[in-house]
Amino acid sequence: MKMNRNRITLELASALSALCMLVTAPSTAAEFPNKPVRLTVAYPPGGSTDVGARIVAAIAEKQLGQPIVVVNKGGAGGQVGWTELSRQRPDGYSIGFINLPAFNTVILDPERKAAFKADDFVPVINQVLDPGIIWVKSDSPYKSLKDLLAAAKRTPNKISAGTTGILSDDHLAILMMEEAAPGTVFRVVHFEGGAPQLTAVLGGHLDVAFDNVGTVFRRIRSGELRALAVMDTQRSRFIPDVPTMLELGYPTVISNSTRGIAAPKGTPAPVVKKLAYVLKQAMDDPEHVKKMEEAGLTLRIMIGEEYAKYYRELHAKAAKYTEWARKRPQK
Amino acid sequence: MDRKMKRGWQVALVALVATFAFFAFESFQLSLRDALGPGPGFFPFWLGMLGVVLAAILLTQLHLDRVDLGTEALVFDRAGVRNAVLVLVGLIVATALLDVVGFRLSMLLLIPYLLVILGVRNWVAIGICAVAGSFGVFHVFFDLLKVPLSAGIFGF
Amino acid sequence: MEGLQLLLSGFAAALSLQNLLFAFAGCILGTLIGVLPGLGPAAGTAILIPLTFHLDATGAIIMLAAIYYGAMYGGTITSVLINVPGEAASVVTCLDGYQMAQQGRAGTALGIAAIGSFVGGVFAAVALAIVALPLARFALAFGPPEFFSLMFVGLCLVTGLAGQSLIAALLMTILGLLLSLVGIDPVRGAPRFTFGVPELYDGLGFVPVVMGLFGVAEILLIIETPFRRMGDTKIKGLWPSREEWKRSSGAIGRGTLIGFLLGLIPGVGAVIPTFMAYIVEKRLSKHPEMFGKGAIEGVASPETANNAYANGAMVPLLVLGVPSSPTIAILMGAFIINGLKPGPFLFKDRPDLVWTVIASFFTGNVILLILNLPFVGLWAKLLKMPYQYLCAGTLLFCIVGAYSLKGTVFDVGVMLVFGVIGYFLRKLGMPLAPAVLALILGPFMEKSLRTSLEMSAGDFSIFLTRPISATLMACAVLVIAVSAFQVAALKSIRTAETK
Repeated sequence: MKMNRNRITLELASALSALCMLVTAPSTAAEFPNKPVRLTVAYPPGGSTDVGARIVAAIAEKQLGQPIVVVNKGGAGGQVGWTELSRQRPDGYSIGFINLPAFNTVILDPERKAAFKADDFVPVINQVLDPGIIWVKSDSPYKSLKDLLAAAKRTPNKISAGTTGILSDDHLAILMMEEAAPGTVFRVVHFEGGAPQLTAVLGGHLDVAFDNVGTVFRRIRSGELRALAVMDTQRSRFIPDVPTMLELGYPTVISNSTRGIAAPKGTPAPVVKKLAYVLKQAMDDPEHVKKMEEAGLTLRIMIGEEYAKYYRELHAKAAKYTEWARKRPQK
Repeated sequence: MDRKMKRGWQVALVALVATFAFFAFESFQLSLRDALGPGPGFFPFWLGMLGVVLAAILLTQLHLDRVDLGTEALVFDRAGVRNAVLVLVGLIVATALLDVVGFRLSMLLLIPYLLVILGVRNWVAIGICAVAGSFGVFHVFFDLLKVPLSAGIFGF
Repeated sequence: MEGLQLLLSGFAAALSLQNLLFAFAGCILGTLIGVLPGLGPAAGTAILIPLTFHLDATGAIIMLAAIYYGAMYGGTITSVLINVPGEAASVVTCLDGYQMAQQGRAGTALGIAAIGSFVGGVFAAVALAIVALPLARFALAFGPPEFFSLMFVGLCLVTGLAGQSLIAALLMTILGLLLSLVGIDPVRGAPRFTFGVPELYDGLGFVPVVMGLFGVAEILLIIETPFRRMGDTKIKGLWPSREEWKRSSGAIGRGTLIGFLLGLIPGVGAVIPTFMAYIVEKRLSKHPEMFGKGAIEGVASPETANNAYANGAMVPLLVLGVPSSPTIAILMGAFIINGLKPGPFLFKDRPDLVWTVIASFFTGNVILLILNLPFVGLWAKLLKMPYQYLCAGTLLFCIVGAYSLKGTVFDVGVMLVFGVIGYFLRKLGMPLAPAVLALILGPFMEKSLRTSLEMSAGDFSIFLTRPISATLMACAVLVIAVSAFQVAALKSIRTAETK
């Protein structure tokens, strides 16, 4: 049930819990879990992270033996939910979704004044990896990535490129693109989410959009939008005709948004292992795979050291581009 | 116009001046301009300044009796204010307790408190309302509508 | 003509007994959700989506749309009866609706709201059926600069909400704007005026503030002032007078137009059309001073605009696949789950489904009217409860509502703080509406401004070089000029009278 600490009763709560801990033995991995587990999603209900979370929770709780309650704590692009997660008791009953690199940039941008750091969390398992994509309107003059880059070089700071948020993976991707194709300068325009970005492009107010496959693959399939490149090492199953950055000769421009589950620092390793195991089983379940497929979400499951390594490396990468974003004359 | 009303407006305007000045001051700490135009502090700063100026103008107008505030009188009913304050205190305490003892218990205490302060002495009705408003509402929301209401640290 | 044929076959399907039943159930559920605090159409619709899994696609969508309309009307019921907006868009209805209830005319207010909603919804549905595609193209022309200019015009219209003192209205507007800027700023992404409180990162929250300013403040006022408790409990008939009918019909007509047009623009949100319609009505009225004291147009106008907006917003949703408000986003999710994939190819791929859905917008509105009118008297009777129970009930209502928004006590706290503030403002007779409008417009304006400047690389002339934006700016100047003229004229009349 709800475990929010209340400032007014902080002393009372700590005293009581200290007492409880003296009286009861800490739960071991064998006993865990003996009450419901709370899974936080740092975004409002209905978004793709939320959809993915509910699908996996519904399946995993069967094997876990206890309900997994999905709780939405949206706000500030995830910052509110992650702040709350970092403050929960590290006993395994509070876990939450983290979205990289949004999560990283919140920590790295000093303006955001995040109350948590990267090592305040223990990564458990990654669920989705949504590759970045560059797309334009179907009647756009840019027929390929080459056209776009040539134009951006010819008229620097004239071609408007949209993101779905300041310091989002889209934003960092634009910077990566400019780095890999020296001389290209985009005029960066930030929107709040996919819908406003879409209307801006369709209305002719924006030249090109940097986004994620999961948001737009249906429209690309239907021909409403044209995709110029997928920012991944392999082609997307959903839109197999779109070339990858690797193929187009820009192997460094790999950008994506991952959604994984983490627990607060200090959660005992056996508990983490058990959670990872149960969640992986759920994610491998054919029903889960099918539902995620329908939602256009690419699965890329990572657990244990693989995820931890990815977590660390991405943080370092995000640090580089966040710094650049802040220094760039026109952010 | 009623003297008390005029006094009331003056107090309110001073409070507004303080608030606006505060906003202007705080936004000064943020940058006012940046590469593209107004920075995060730009609008709050100028809005705050504008607010201070306008409030000052209105204060002056009031002082010189140039404003017609209508014929409504500003009356505070003694007993009424006492009750309102008591109710407010009850609300604050209940809110503070919401996450501690849980929705059901806080409302169980709040509802009779409110009704008694407002003069109800029908103990049966109070009892029914208390239970319906606390446990009843909780279960309707939690079980039927799946909207979680606080359960407090005792899980109750 | 093919369109007409498709529409007729759509009607045939929508009028099937099964689908009618779904619409009926949806309207009832929706109204209940709307009446219940804090849930609002967004959360309510989200909760009911799983229910619809067991139904076929058409039935599910019909039911969900009916729930959406029903919830909007439910929000009106609480606005009128207890001055608590059941959902954000019902705020404006509080201004005159509650006053009417205080005068014993709750039934009339609810009745005209139902009728206005019906007319607005039906006419907007007709417009939707006829001109969906071309209108969508027009709506797309609204980019960030046009958005900003539109909001700017809205803000200038606030001068029309001034009561006795224009400066007081301006001060309230500034207060609302400043409060709306609390939170993470759209420029740098840095927290602004949050003092390290993470719950403030997303701002104060429109709903808790408004529930406090209107609902809680009203309760405090009722407790404090003895004569308010004896609010006219005699119900003065349920039918508007002939003169009121005349006034309302104009309001309904204009509300439909404003609501529908604003609904076409993706991203506008439900509150703004209600405010615009209200302000326009007040400006055009021969007795503007009646607004805020129980003018029937003050209820008819926003309620009509609300429903017209709901159907207007279906255009960007169905044709472009772009949801204009969080509630519509959830509706869109439900559509997609049920196989209705919004977008320009929708009309081509699944005309049967689309036209059935559009036909059900008609039937839904009719059912809502039939359902709600008879109950209007019943709702009004609810107010005859002894005031103590009404107060306690309303407060409980507000606490649950504020808490269930995000599951934090913080919002309840915000609501209480603004309850106290609202109490004092009401006592002094300061106008609340400008503050509320500014609270809604503030973030939109700043974000649009910022995005526009990013598009133009810092060039401010973008607002004047683009045709639609320039036109809107010219309107804004016109509005200010007219207001200034009116104020000056009023002053000279007054000085002439005193001489």
